[in-house]
Amino acid sequence: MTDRYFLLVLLSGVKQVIDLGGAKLRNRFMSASGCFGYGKEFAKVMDLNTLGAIVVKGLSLKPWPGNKGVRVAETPAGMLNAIGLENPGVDYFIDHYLPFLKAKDIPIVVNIVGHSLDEYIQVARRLEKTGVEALELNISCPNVKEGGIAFGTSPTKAFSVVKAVREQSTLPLWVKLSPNVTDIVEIACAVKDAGADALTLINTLTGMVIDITTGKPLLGNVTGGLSGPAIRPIAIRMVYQVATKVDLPIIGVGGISSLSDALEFFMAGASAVQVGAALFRDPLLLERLPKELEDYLKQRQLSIEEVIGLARRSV
Amino acid sequence: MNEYLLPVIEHKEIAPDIFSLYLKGNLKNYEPGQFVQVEVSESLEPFLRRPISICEIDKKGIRLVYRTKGRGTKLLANKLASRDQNNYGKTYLRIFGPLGHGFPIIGNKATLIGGGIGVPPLLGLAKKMWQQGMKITALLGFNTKENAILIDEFKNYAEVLIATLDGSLGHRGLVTELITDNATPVYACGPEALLRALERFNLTGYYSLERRMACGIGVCLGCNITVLTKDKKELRQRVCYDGPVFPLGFVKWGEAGD
Ligand SMILES: Cc1cc2nc3c(=O)[nH]c(=O)nc-3n(C[C@H](O)[C@H](O)[C@H](O)COP(=O)(O)OP(=O)(O)OC[C@H]3O[C@@H](n4cnc5c(N)ncnc54)[C@H](O)[C@@H]3O)c2cc1C
Ligand SMILES: Cc1cc2nc3c(=O)[nH]c(=O)nc-3n(C[C@H](O)[C@H](O)[C@H](O)COP(=O)(O)O)c2cc1C
Ligand code: FES
Repeated sequence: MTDRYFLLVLLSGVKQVIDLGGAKLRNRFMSASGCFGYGKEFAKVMDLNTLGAIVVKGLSLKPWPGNKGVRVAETPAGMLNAIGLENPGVDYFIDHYLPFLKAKDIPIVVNIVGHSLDEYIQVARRLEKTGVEALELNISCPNVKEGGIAFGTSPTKAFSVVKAVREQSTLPLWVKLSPNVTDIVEIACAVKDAGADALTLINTLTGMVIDITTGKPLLGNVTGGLSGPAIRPIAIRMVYQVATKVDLPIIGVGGISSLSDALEFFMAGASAVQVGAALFRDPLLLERLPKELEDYLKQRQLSIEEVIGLARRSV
Repeated sequence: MNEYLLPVIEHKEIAPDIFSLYLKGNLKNYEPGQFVQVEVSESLEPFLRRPISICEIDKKGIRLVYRTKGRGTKLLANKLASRDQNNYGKTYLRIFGPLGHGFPIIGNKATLIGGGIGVPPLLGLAKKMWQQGMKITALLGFNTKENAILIDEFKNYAEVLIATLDGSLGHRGLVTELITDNATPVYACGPEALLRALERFNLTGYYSLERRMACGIGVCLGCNITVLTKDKKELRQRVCYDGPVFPLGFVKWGEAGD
């Protein structure tokens, strides 16, 4: 074995580290919250260590039961969900899922939700010193009556919840924004001023389907959140707009089902991406994407830095 | 569970709008009652996979029996039907599975109760029970004789009694009218009305549920229901992951589902 070969082997064994608002990621591909559970199910079908990070389903202080009735509906090139943030509560997560995830070699990002400002703070506090890599503040879930999106559609409310959590948590703080607003840049600015370290764009868009045989709304919650390829152009537009105006790293999400979709997000200005609903039709997608990006860059002799924001520099 | 891309080796309409499909291959550790997520389109439309029960697995391959109901299943049937018979083996289908938990097999006798498109997964169960030397009775209900499926195949393993709503085959009426006092344990699959009707009898056993699903692998919580434990505590369960088979009488109906 030549020294050169030995060096190559050594180098390729070194784990890549990407900094995203203070959080250290393994690569630029993550699960989207709510589409990967807490990792245990996917661990049976894929190697979790191929993820840049795992982003877990939204957690509240106490367990939430979620919505009654039909919760998912297929729509053109996508789906609606009205889960209503059913979750076992942050303490249960810490006791039952976190040890399992920590035994893996993977950064853990916790998506947190609350009905009130106080609940957000309490959940964030519980996660201090537990070994999680970052918090993703979900101020954008369209499927709960109080909290969630109510915080994400008003710049002043968004500011107050982000500031409150920022003051109580030492963890890198990502804030996940709602696309159900007229001006996403305005919200993004407020969230930045409140001390966010990165922005996740976008959560689902509010939508609705009617069952024409019964004449009633199909979903138990009447409305639901739209995700999948159908929302990708909207997500791209929002990432592009925010990247132009706000100086924070962006995590792009919404309708990614292939490397070319992910590349669009990078070119719009995202530094990393998350994959959600596409995993339901292609469960092994996230295992393939990091390698596909590597090959793409190698083939074109590009660095990822050259790709990120490319579309903004070219107009 | 795993992802498989398998050649289609047979596709036949066995009753109006009901197709029997064979894929070449095997699924390790399959339990009767489990299902697979079938990709109906290689493009992004329709977006989600369709959950279909495994009817049986034998030397020939993996068998699914499905009814064309809406867009996705019709697309699948048209795609497979339009291929020349001689080209079977060159058409591939992507499935993910086996998913969920199947029927636990207990004791030395059983009554299988199936209604309509709920009948197919019970065939694999009947075969497995028969291989274990159990005494099996199969009560199968259909709308009419025309819709009746798989009867001769069940006869290889079980004593078979049929009910049709219009009386065109077997007993005229509901399949539940064929239930006898010593039917326990029962293994049921069929429309929700049938499963709920079984709870009015003094029976124990298992039933298999159907819910709208997105992921089918337990991560989206789209299919959650409440199940009662033996000491009457409420437990949230995913039909796709913790089910689709649950102990008879322990599902709290009417809060999540269609
Ligand atoms: C665990 C399980 C096992 C099943 N096994 C079989 C089987 O062996 N054979 C068979 O013919 N059918 C089976 N079904 C029902 C089958 O999944 C639906 O008929 C099918 O998904 C309908 O799709 P479509 O494209 O025809 O209808 P569309 O109306 O186009 O479907 C739109 C969406 O609604 C969902 N959906 C619609 N109806 C149902 C339903 N009744 N149950 C669940 N999801 C539904 C679809 O999956 C899809 O996401 C099973 C369902 C479940 C949950
Ligand atoms: C079933 C389901 C559950 C979701 N749950 C959450 C959640 O708990 N917290 C959150 O921030 N976003 C949640 N989302 C939104 C996704 O994380 C993502 O932002 C959105 O679906 C768009 O990405 P996609 O098109 O790749 O799915 C959920 C989405 C789906 C489909
Ligand atoms: S369908 Fe996603 S959890 Fe059951």
